[in-house]
Amino acid sequence: MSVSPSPLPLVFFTAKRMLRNASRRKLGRLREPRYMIGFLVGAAYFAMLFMRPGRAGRTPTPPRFPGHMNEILLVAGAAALAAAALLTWLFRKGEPSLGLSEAEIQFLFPAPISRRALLHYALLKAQFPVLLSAFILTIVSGRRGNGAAILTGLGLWLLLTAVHFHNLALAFTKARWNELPPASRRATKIVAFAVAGSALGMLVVTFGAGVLAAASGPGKERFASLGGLVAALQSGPFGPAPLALLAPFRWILAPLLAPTARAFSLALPPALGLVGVLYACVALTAVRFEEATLSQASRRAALRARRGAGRLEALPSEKRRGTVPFRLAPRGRPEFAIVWKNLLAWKRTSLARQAVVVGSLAAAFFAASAFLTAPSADTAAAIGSMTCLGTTALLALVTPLGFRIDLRGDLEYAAVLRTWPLPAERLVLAELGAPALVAVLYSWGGIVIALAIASGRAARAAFLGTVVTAPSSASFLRFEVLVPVALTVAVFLPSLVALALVVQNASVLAFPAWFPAGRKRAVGLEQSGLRMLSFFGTSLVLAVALVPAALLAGPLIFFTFRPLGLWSLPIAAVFAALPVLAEAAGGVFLLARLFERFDPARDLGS
Amino acid sequence: MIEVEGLVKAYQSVTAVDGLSFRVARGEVLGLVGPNGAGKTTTLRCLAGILPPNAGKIRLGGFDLITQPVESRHCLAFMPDEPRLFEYLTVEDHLAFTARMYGVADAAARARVLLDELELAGKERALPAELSRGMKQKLVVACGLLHDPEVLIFDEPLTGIDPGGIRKMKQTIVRRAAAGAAVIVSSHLLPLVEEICSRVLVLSRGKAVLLGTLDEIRASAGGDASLEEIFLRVTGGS
Repeated sequence: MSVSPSPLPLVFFTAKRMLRNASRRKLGRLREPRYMIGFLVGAAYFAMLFMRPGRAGRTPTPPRFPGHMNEILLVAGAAALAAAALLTWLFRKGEPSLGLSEAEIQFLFPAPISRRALLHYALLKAQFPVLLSAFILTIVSGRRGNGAAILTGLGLWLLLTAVHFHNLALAFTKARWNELPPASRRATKIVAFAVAGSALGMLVVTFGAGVLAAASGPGKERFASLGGLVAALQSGPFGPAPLALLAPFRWILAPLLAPTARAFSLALPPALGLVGVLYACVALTAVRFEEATLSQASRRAALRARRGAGRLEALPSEKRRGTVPFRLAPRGRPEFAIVWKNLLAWKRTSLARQAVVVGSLAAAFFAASAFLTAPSADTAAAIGSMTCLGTTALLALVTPLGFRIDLRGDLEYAAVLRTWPLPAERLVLAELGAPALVAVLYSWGGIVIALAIASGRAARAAFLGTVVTAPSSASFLRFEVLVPVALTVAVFLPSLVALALVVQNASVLAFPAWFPAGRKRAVGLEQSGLRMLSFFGTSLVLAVALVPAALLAGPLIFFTFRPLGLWSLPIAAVFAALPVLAEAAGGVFLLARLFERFDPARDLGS
Repeated sequence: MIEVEGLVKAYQSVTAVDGLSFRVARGEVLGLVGPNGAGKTTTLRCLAGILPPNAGKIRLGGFDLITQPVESRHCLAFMPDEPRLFEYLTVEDHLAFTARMYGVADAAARARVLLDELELAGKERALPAELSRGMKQKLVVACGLLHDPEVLIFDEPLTGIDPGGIRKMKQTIVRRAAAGAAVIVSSHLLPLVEEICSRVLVLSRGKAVLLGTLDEIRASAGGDASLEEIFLRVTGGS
């Protein structure tokens, strides 16, 4: 009779090979200067983030909570954990899946491995994300020095392992119930629901009474010590039962919250015992997990494929699929088809509906602003409208960086784009249309809302025959200031957005090996570094490109400010926008040449 | 009409297509066959304007692909071996987009006919992620045929399609050729090539090793050999 192989070597073999191959691939990429530079920039950034002064001092980190507070936190944490566990027993359906990948299912399910070995393989494999989570949470916790980080990491590992085992045991148990005859199944579920519900109710009542006692004066002192807290909770309607219920949850939390190494060593045995019990529950309750594992693996693979293609949101509903940005007639300039397509890549929404939403918001803000009677309403409205204006301008500048619904996203389809009957300049211009439209329309929408807020106050003042009274420190926030400033932003932003889009797209077309095309967001330290470089590069190019605009607008404002006041700003913005638009137009011409020279086989490897 | 003269496409040290010349007249179906790596897909991509050739001339529907790219692309529909669809567009969105791109006036009526012909009726609101490989292929063909192009290029058109779909696809190709289109079909399925193609071009290492009608090819091979036997003989297969 053949013996089922131990899952341990299998887990370590796959983990070792995956780690080795991934490392080789990553290290191999670092031979290319672009990835090496990206890696160094990314590494420097994260080193600065995690090792900044004050977080990794040489002195041991003091206990986070003074004295008895740590113990009180233990009781409160245990209560929260218990409530969460009871809620999962009450409401979580549970899927008896081992969480294996499609490849693991393909190779391991038909292999001569016992079901128990398969279960152990899955449990061991799940330890990798558990350990990684414990590691990251330890770093985030900021506990350093004197081995505190190791103890925190171990405590987190125990807690996360217990949660994993608990959830699996719950899923297996519920799946077992579903296999019972209908009558027994109903009875079992009713009993389980009643038990879990009663326990949860008991906890809520006990802790609710405790909080009320704390809030009502004399009870406060009892919370100054653990003994007092325990006494307060035991004096509740259920006596010592709630605290007894919390015992296993306190055991599992105790190592994590232990303030010293000695306290940790004392807390370790009960926690390990609990993890052992939970493991036994998983092993004893294991039911038919094949179907659920297969189904979950398929779902995960589909999700990964969608994420890989840059789509994070769920598929639109059948009803929403009829919604388009605007009606696309079969005849007319083909550029509109590209803008239409790219808007759909962003969101399934109608532009007309978006305009109605912005209009409604503006009307609502206008009304709220006009009817506000509070003494500080004028200041609030002025600050609100200026904040709205500032946020709008910022969003309009950030949008070109993040919205890859243009050539950057479509270059993955370069083989398709090449067959479209459009000259390169018109194709490039159309590709930039969607993100430009989104950025400009949204920023104008923000400006309309900002003006609505300000004009609400002005209308009120005109109606009542009073004066808008912004405080002197905020006198620049007055309506007659806001309108020219808003107009300036409205006039200048489109040219800036166009230029930023040209720069971003040019970087991908000119350096496809440096800045990958597609909506997919590549991950890794070197990719983070490259993104930072891209941001700095874009900022630098934009700063240089704005010099002619500044040279034109500066003298214009200087000479017209005296006669026109703030109204010189929008006039200067019109003239400043001209060189920026000219640069953007030159950029489009350059992009077209780059697109013509773009070779999908060479640049994308397709 | 497709005219190719001295086409060369090289990647660094590899010459994928080496001085290829051929013509496909209106109403003709040319079968493009060759072993893996012979340069079939590269040739088709050059014809579709996806890859810029290093040398040579390509004319589609009488227009030069390099000097008159927009006009020549108006005549063309390229159906690649791997269907590339925009995953955020539904079936009807793809057709609406293609209609506008090529300015198809009666797009709605044509789309209805094509959806029925290619058995996609009822899938109008489906996204590519919800379509099988074969259905995606059919959608690419539907989009390609929507503007009634003069030049049709199919790269492995039957991949992933069920037997019923295969029959319909073959009928579609033959019908389009009969209506006056110049068609190129690249395939490893030699029986398909024998069945629907009026002429065959065998490529090997980027060069044409055989070009002619099936009868001419058989005659040159000296007898009644099947296309498979002739193919293996000229390409050095065993």
